[in-house]
Amino acid sequence: MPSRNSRKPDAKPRIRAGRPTLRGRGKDKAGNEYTLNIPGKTDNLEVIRTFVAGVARRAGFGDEDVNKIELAVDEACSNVIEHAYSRDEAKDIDIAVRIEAPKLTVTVTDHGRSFHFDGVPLPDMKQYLAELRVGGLGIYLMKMLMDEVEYHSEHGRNEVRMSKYFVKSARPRTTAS
Amino acid sequence: MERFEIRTGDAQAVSLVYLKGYLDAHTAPEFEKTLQDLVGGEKVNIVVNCSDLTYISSAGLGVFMGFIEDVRSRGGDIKLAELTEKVFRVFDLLGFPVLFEIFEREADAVAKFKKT
Repeated sequence: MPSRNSRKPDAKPRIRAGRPTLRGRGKDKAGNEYTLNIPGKTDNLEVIRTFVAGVARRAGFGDEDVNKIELAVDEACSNVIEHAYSRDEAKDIDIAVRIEAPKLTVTVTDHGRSFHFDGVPLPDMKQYLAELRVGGLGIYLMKMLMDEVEYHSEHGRNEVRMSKYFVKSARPRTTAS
Repeated sequence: MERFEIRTGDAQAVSLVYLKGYLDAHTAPEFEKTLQDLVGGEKVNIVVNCSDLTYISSAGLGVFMGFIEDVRSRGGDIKLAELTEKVFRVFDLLGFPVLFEIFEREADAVAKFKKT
């Protein structure tokens, strides 16, 4: 926990530079959400990673978990750009990071083509490597890196919701993958 | 802003590729082109030095996977050297050290080509 003088209590991140908009509501305590709306192009992946890693770090995660969250979100957004939007850069991705004990949840929303997220077979890595396959690791990585991963698609709106628990022991056993 | 850079060099019939910055879906095509040029020029003994590579996603890993079969079928190999802990963790998470030889020092990776 930061000491009471370590930062301004009501500092609100608010970055506006061109089309991407970033809004933070309130402090990084329970129930707060930070959102980023950004054109879905690969050039923006770095901005997305910086945003998510910054919020995760501020929420109290250590380097190893921050790296995992950052990579999982990159994979989700790369999937949107490649598969949902077929590299149509005119379409936006919405990223929301919600901090609510006992976990941090990142929701990546797109309005492109949906796909059978859970129908994508997870590779057996030994076989994958032995057969020198290429691609198809994004969803597998998301599931390896995060504690919970869900996909919803409804009325042209697709959502990947990924959570990471602050304390590993707080992670429900029923969701263990 | 830290972006992505590729430098290439040679050391005793081994091609060296230096990656700097982040290797993601945006920068992977550049790395792909570099490897394509090397393989096209029959330079198939390749050491990729990752000492300044700060980030890798599956798009970057895919480039290594995309060339390894072709390179090995021509009698060469892609070896990795000087990975940071952060980047190594991603390779390790997916079991890539089974398929790719990873060296702590670039010189050791280069020397390994001479032995084989």
